[in-house]
Parts: sequence; C-alpha cells; structure tokens
Amino acid sequence: MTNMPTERALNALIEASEDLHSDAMRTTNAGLAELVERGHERRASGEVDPDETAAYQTDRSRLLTKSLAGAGLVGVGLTRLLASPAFAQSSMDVQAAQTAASIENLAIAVYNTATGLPFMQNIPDPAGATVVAFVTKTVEQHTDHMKAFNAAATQLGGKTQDKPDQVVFDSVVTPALPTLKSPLDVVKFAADLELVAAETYLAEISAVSDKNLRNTFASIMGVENQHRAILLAVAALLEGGKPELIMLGPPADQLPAAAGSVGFPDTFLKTDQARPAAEGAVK
Amino acid sequence: MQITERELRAMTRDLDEMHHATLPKMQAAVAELREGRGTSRRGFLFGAAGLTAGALIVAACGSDKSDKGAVTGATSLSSSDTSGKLTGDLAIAALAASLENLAVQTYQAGLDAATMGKLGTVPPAVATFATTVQQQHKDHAAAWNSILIGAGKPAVTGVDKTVQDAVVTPGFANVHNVVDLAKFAIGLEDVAAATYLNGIQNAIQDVGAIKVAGSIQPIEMQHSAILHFVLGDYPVPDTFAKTAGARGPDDIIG
Repeated sequence: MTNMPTERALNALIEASEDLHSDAMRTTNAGLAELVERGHERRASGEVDPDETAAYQTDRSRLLTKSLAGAGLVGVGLTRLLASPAFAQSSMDVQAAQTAASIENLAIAVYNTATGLPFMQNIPDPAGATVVAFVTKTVEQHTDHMKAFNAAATQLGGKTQDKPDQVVFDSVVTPALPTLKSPLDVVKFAADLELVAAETYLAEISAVSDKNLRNTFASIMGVENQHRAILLAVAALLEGGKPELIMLGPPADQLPAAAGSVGFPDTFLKTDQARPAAEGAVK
Repeated sequence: MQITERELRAMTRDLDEMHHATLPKMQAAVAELREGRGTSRRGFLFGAAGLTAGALIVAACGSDKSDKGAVTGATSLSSSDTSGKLTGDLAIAALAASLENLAVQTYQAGLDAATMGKLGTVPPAVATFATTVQQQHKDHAAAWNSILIGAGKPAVTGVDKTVQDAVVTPGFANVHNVVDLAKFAIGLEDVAAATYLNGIQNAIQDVGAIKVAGSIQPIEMQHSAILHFVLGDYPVPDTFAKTAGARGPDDIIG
C-alpha cells in the first residue's frame, strides 16, 4: 500500500480535487440555470405542474396531514392548506432549500469553530496535516453546497438563508461544544452532523416537487455521507490508539481489521435523523 | 383558497410546531411497522416518508396475503412491453439488481483469489472491507428484487453482462494484488452510485423506488471514499456526485 504522502503530494491531490470540483460546479451551475428558467416560466404562467404537486402530496404533505389529523392536531383550514398546490409548490420547496442551506451553514460554523480549539491545532503529524487538509476541503465543499441550495431557494422565489439551523444550533451544538475535549470528540460530533445533513437530503429527494431541487439534494447527500465515512474511519483510528495511521494511504497491513468496515455502518441510509423541511426556513 | 403571505407563515410555524409535537408518534409508528406489528405494513412502507430500503425488504419478505394489493407503488412500477421485457422503473430495478449482483460476484472473486494466495498478503482490514461490502451489496440486490417480486416479476439473479463482459472480465484479469483489487472496486462502486443518481435525477418515477435508490447511492459512495482513502487518493473528490458512467436499462442481464 502507499506510504505516507508528502506535503507536496497532498497538495497535488488537493489541486486535482479542485479541478474535479470546478467541473462539478459547472455541471451544477448548468442545472441551476435550468432551474431559474423553469421557475421563471412557472411564475410567468402561474401554472403548477400537477404531476409534481401530486408527487409531493403523495408523500410529505399527505402523510403529515393524515398523521396530524389523526392525532387531532390539525384543523380543517390547515388541512386544506397542506393539500393546496400553491402551498406545496411555492412554500415547501423554498423552505426545504433554505433549511438545507441552514444545515450547510451550521456545518461550516461547527468545522470552523472546532478547528480553532487548542487541542485541534496540536495534533501530531501525519494526523494533524491530514485532518487540516480534510477540514479545509470539507468546509469548501459545504460552502459550495450552501450556495447551491441558496441559489435554488432564490430561483424558486425565496430568500437566501445565511444563518445556521437555529434549532440544531441551540439544542445540539451549543450544549455539545463545551463537552468537546479531544480530537476524537470533535471528529465524532462532525460525523453526526454529516449524518444529519445526508439524511435530511435523502428525505427531501422524495418530498420536494421541483425536479431540479430534487436533483441538487440527490447530488449532495452522498457527498455528505462520504465525509461521514472518513470521519468515522478517523475516529476509529483515534479511538484505537492508532493516530499515526491517519493519513491518505495508510499502510494497510497495519490497520486493524475493523477499519475495513467502520466507515459504512449502515447498509441503507436512513431518515431518522432528518431535520424537518421547514426548520431552517427564513423567518 | 386565498391566503396572505403572513397567514401562510403563521400556519407554517404552527405546522412546524405540531410536526415536532407529533414526530415522536410518527417515529414510533414507523418503528412498530418495522417490527411487523403494523396492520398494513406493505402499503405504509411504500408510501411513507422515512421509508428505508431495509424496511422494504422486511415488508417484502414478511408477505401478508391479506394485504395483497396494498403496495400502492407497485401499480406505477409495473410495466413491460409486448415482448415481456421490463420497462420504466421495473427495468431500472432489474438493472440495479444486476449491478449489485455483479458487485457481489466480483468481490467474491477477489476473496477467492485472496484465499488461493493469488493477491499476495491480504491485510485483515482489506478482507473485512471485502466481506462487509459484499454483504451490503447482497442486501441492496435484495431490496431491488423485493420491488420486482412485489410487482409480480421474477427476481434478478443474473449480473449486468454488458459491464461484466466489457469491464469486469478483462479488468479482473489484471488484478494481481490488493491495490489492483481496490482500484478495480472503485470503478464498480462509482458505476453503481452514478447509476442510482441518474435514476433519481432522470429516470425513476415511483416515489418508493426513488427512496430505495436514494438510500443506497450514498452507501456506494462511502465504499468508494474508503477505497480512495486507503489507496492514498483524496477520499471525497467530487463536491457534487456525478452521473458519469451510469448504466442504462439497455444493458444485457444474464
């Protein structure tokens, strides 16, 4: 297996990744341009695609409405509102995009805050350099994801979401930050946030009605899950007392057997950690 | 129904609060159904938000004669042309199952080669990776086959012959060690992930099938990330997942 990469090799890899990133951004921008055109056409005509609305209603709205109604929590007016195409089309898609942007903002904030913690700046190499390079690139990718979701929100007639998901920030991040005492704590926490992002986007691919917004969710959920895989692998090596193996191309013969499976603990991505579609919407 | 933007926002806030209030109940209901205590498992699982493909397998395997026809998604999934060839979502389900079967078969070939000493020394982590990933691909194939069976079609036990003949057979001949095997496996994982993404973005119509594809694509991408990491490549090379290399329903399954 490959030996420890030099800084030069690492930089070359990051440069290569930048090129791939630029290619992907061009593809996404093309998709977003199409989204703009579709949004303009839709608003100009005042029409709603019945198939898209039906798909939406089949999923999120109908089930939520039925569930809430069954619990005696929804009045007739709100039930009608949930079933209305206008609500599904103009409101929930925008809110879902804004919520996604808020999750990306949250991830960026957490990574930036966590890497500023003293113990994160004193990780011995090669783990230290590897973690710094990974965090730098991951923050950049989350920033691009945030921009993509905000572009989708504005192109569907909504506002950009420049703030983090306040519910998660208040209920999860704020209480957790003081408990982060080691690189292992930080890496595990970041892995949890990546899971929340991936699962939220998975939930949205079958809930939103706009095809291009769905495509944006679909193209990002797997990337967040890849971040999680690497974080889980790094966490396992830290937990196993093998920080010297945290590098691109670790000596495979020295890896513990469990390292071969720790990065993908689930056979199917679930949605039990998904955040509500409207949670991070612009108020 | 005419409503103002302000009313809409207020109602949305109310809905959000109620959503939070009832979410535990919904989650409990889903958990109950997964454990087989629901009254109409199959119908619910195909339509419910929060569906997982794992649950789908449970639903298909635990076939309950009394709720025959409750699989609402099956109606839109069921399609074949006059020659009996699958079309639409079912054709994609069959393609996906065949790609998963091919991955299972290829990892088995790798494990067999390792057992026979053809790949040199095989680190324990690599063996664990191969066996774990192979099992996950088996489960993915079962998920797609559960859709086919639910629609009254036979399960796909064959592999994507098009990919096997053009890529796997000639490529595997050049696998002489675990590094070669890892590089080879990345190709298969990336093809699977791209095929699912393409299905979600451009082909699959049924919501249940979209959910299944969506629950699997990120796992294939994790496999790929770990392989890249071990090989010394940057593990998350793409900011947005791509459809390049995606296979289509014209592939031969055999």
